[in-house]
Amino acid sequence: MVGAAEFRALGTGVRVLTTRPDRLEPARAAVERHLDAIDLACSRFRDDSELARLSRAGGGATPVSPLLASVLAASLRVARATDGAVDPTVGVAMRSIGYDRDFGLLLEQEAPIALVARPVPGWRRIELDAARGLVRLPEGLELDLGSTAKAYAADQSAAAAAGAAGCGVLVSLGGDLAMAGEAPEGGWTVLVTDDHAAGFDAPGQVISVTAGGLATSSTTVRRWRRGGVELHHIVDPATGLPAAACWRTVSVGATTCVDANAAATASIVWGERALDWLDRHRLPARLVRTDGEVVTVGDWPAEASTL
Amino acid sequence: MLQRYVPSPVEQRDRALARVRSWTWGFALIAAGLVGLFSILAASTFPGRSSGTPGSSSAGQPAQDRGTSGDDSAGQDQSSQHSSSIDSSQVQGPPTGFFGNSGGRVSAVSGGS
Repeated sequence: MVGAAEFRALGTGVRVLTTRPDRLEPARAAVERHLDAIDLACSRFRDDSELARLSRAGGGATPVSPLLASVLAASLRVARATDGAVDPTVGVAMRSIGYDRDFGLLLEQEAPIALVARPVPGWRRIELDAARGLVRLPEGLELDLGSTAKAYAADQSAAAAAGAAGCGVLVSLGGDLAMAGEAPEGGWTVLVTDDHAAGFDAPGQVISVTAGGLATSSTTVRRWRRGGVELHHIVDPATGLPAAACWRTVSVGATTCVDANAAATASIVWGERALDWLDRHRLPARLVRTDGEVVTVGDWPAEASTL
Repeated sequence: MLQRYVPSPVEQRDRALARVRSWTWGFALIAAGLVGLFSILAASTFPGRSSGTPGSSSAGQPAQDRGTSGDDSAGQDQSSQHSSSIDSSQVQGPPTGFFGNSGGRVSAVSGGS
């Protein structure tokens, strides 16, 4: 028996689990506090966020909070580790494909847009002095910390919640999972599927996990149409356009949710090349092709428990 | 009658300069060889490039350790169970025993969002 709470934050569904149901409230409160802080620091859709102010700074060295500096540092590490496949400088590209507002409002837009393939500026153009809390962006460069900020928030809020509750905690932010403290006997039972909001009986695979992070990236969610063209939210930094279709969904286990999310998102961008990279980095993964064929890498459990 | 040839001072100077020139070339070649040798040794022992670590990589693959900007350490889970010799800029696999064997009811969903 685990405690469970659900709410919405960062534009997605949040689920907090505790190994002790009586300790759910302090865990939930710790997660909510952390997510509020992340939203204020990193949101692309809030004019009052630190990230928005940074984008408006116009090329000067700008002081940032330790939280934004940490998320930015994590996103730069991810960009380097994925050789730029997951790049925080996709802000303008996201706007140019129509993702310029909260996703709920995005679906109301239907006017055609001109799609032009253009590489994003690239993460190496960001100057971060983490020790002094200063960031300099070239003028016109816009950041989208998106999935890395969400995964970072999952890692940090899970650790904070486990500390506050004094028991094992799992935090799911839109389907990206971070675990802290001692897991329940046998692990947390998790359904891996295309859409985190699809419910516990959706098609997919049931596994159990005990620690670290588990993240899933999918092109089946956050899709929209503009002028008859179907678009999705995972941008290939090499083209500035939605990544080409190879895998529709990739799930990866890693030491942190940030690393798991980086590997899952990069795999969508890389397509077939991802298999070798995941294997070399000893990252267990489940990849689903657009036609539904499932490929697993490393120690990922066999599909015997597929629903 | 055999006469011993005695080079003029100008010739002696030119020969000495020629010797200095050849020695200079020799030392330059030796130095270049040593630089190459030490470069290879340093590259093969750089953290994260060792073939014995999960973070190892090879040329031509998607991810490389070639960037230089950004902070590598902030935001990292320092409680990683991996060896400290692994390059922190690499994405790291899950801890030992990551997958459990619970047969319990599903309590969370990992999916796209």
